[in-house]
Amino acid sequence: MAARYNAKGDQNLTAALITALTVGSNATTAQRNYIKRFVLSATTPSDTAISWTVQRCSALGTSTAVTPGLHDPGDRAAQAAVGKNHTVEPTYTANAFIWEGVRISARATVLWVAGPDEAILHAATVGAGIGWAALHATVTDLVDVQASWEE
Amino acid sequence: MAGQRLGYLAIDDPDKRLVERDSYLCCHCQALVTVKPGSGKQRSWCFRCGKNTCGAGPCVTRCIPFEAKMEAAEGRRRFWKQLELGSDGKHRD
Repeated sequence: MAARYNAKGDQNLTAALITALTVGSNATTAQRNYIKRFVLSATTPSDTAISWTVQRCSALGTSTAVTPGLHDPGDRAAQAAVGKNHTVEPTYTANAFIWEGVRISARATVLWVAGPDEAILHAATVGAGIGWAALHATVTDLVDVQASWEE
Repeated sequence: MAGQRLGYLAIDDPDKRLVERDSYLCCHCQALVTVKPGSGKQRSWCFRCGKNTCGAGPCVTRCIPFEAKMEAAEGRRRFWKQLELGSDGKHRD
């Protein structure tokens, strides 16, 4: 059975799309990651709608590295390159949207769980990955993304 | 949606009732689609993949499984690597 990992990322909203979490291929040994679950939320609930985008990327940008957690403590450490709070945005692949600009209330928490035979995946090439990004025209609250994946 | 085991999407807004939907990933582009019974929205079924598509034009008219696209992307990278070239086709320094 594939090993399963999870990580959490966060980011303060801006008026332009800004990335809270990326899960990507290892920088030296490229591998696929199979995203099985993600959770989106905002830390300061307010009466506004946040625009969420989940998109495939070809370069992971500059971010704070995240050490993924292990679902099974007996598994090896995650191979994925995981980053949060991006200062340089990933290079998103044009039109490679999984979710494009979906507006969700800032009070809401979104949970997505993949079907048993499916997963969001990216190519096993260095720099490839999946990014979770959000924007709001005026609000600068912190948004959280949690993701679980298999390697 | 017969024949495909679906995913699950929940939106929990304290001010409203919990919204729960079945979901699936398009077998051709991996777009995340939520199923809203009674919406009248027509997607399509790919008989080669045996799965649902997102209903967008290219995904309905041509069957290129997402897995094939990923393998093509990885193959291109391997090809350039074998030639010791960058993905832009130029020699590495």
